[in-house]
Amino acid sequence: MPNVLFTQRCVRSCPYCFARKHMSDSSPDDIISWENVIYLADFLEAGGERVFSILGGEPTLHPDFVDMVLYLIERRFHVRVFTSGIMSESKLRDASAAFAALPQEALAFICNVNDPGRSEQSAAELPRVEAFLAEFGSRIAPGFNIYQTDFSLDFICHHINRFGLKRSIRLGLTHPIPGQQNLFISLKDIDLIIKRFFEHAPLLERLHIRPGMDCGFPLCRFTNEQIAWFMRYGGECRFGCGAVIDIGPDMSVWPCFPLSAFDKRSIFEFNSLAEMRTHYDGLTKKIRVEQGGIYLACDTCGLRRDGNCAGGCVAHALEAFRHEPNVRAQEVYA
Amino acid sequence: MSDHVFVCPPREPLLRALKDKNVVVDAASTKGVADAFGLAQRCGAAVRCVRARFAGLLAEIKPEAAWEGIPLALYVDGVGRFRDIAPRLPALRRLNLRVYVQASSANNLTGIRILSSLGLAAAAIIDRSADWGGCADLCTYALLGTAPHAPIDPFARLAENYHETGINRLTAALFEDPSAIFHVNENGPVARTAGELARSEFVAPSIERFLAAPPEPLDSALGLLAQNSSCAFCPALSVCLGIVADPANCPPGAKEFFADLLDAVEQSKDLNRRGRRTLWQT
Repeated sequence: MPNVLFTQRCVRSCPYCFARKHMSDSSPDDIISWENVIYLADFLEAGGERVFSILGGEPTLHPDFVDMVLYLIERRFHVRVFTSGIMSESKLRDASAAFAALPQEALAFICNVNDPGRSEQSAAELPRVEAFLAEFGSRIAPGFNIYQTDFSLDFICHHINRFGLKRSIRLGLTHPIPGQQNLFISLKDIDLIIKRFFEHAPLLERLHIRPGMDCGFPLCRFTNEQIAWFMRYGGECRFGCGAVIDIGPDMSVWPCFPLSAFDKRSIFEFNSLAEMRTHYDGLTKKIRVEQGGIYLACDTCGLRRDGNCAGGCVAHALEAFRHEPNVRAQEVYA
Repeated sequence: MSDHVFVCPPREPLLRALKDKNVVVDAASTKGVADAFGLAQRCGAAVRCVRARFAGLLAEIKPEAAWEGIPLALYVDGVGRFRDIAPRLPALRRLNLRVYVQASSANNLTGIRILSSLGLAAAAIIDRSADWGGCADLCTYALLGTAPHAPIDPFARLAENYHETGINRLTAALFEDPSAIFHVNENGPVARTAGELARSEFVAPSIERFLAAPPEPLDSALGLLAQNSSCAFCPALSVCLGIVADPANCPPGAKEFFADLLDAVEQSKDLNRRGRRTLWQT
């Protein structure tokens, strides 16, 4: 489902930030207008989409954040907000009062948390994050972006127990942003990541916390036993990679943040959500024709052929194209 | 029954004189809505709607159960914050309501669009102070927006009744049409417009005299043509008719707005002709 950026300003500066390219090319003062929110609600509704995903920057910085969320819920969307949870006390009070009576299924937060033991910045922002977690506990599913091989999920388990969060963790794998400097998990480290994750498996099992994997994980790096564990104890596992579609406050659209420089267009060029998806799926396919996946073996892999795995994040391929002679289909250099 | 519509205060002698006539009952405030409607019905007037003003935001109004079933044209200063309107929406939706807001600010135009998108009929009061650019955007949404939404006047009414070769007065949906809608003073004299009523410029000294000898339909467009003013060469003349703009001092952006409006009306009619607006589409 598409993500709609309410703001382009963030309160964090995460070293792995996958939105960095887009943010550096955009005005931080751009915020979405009511007119555009209404247009998008109409557009998504017409496309049969019933979930409205709100993203930033930090979306709660939008001065009309609370009112716009209430509006979308009135339009019968299930609203999902991706947030750092860092907001002023007055904004938190405001949101708390406005959202208190909403049905649980109407509004959910995915709070992307950073390990406070890993950086001074994360430690400094912890009190505000905790205030948010305490206020909206049962509406929140924590999310965590893996950008170091020795990561820990212990602090998230602690958050879940302490604040009564949803018993799941959305795990994101950090990917390269072609043309930008960001921290990401290199291909050679993916096995280490998987190994490190499964060191947490007994604890997650005992605490009944279901981890789910966001896009870009390569299926072939997991053993059958690990996949079986996910089936038994895990949440949603996606070994796919495709156009999520992000929509900016100025109504520009792009396939996903790592591909924000690729074929950025205006939503007004498309008559429907289906048309937009078809367009960006076509772009992804062109890249996959040039390079099947993140490993050379992806080209002939049965898992990819059968549609069980997309071959990892396409951003790895695009980044690789930048360091070779310009010999491929020109669209992939867009 | 004549085709004339009378905007009339809720006074019994006046309403009795307007028995069987089309009447917009002009209640002074929202406090008198139900009483005004009841009185007009008892007097035998054909009530088109009750017009009421609320000195405040729509978000501050407390809809009354007694308003249910009354066609209500509610004038407010603005719409207000969505969080304050949201709790009132169920009650507002039960009403036969159209909300009128001045088109002079971007906030108001946004409020109108929000109400419409939620199924509440609304109207932009367009006068010389209008935010013309915002009005052009709103009319595009009103007439060409593909998602279901409540009508936004005066655009919806204009599109519905538009004649390519005739007169299409934009402000008719705002109770201003000097050839069809007349305004009654609380003492009985009748004027062509609310402005003329305020200036005591009457076309008849009483309702009875008006009905006995109705004034000739006024076509101000002909006057503007005769004056050979700049309006005579304006493609929007048949819609504006010198009411919104005036020949001596056309507000910046007004001409562009009217051009966009006429384009949107034409496109809307074209789409309707091609059957775009059917409920079930494959």
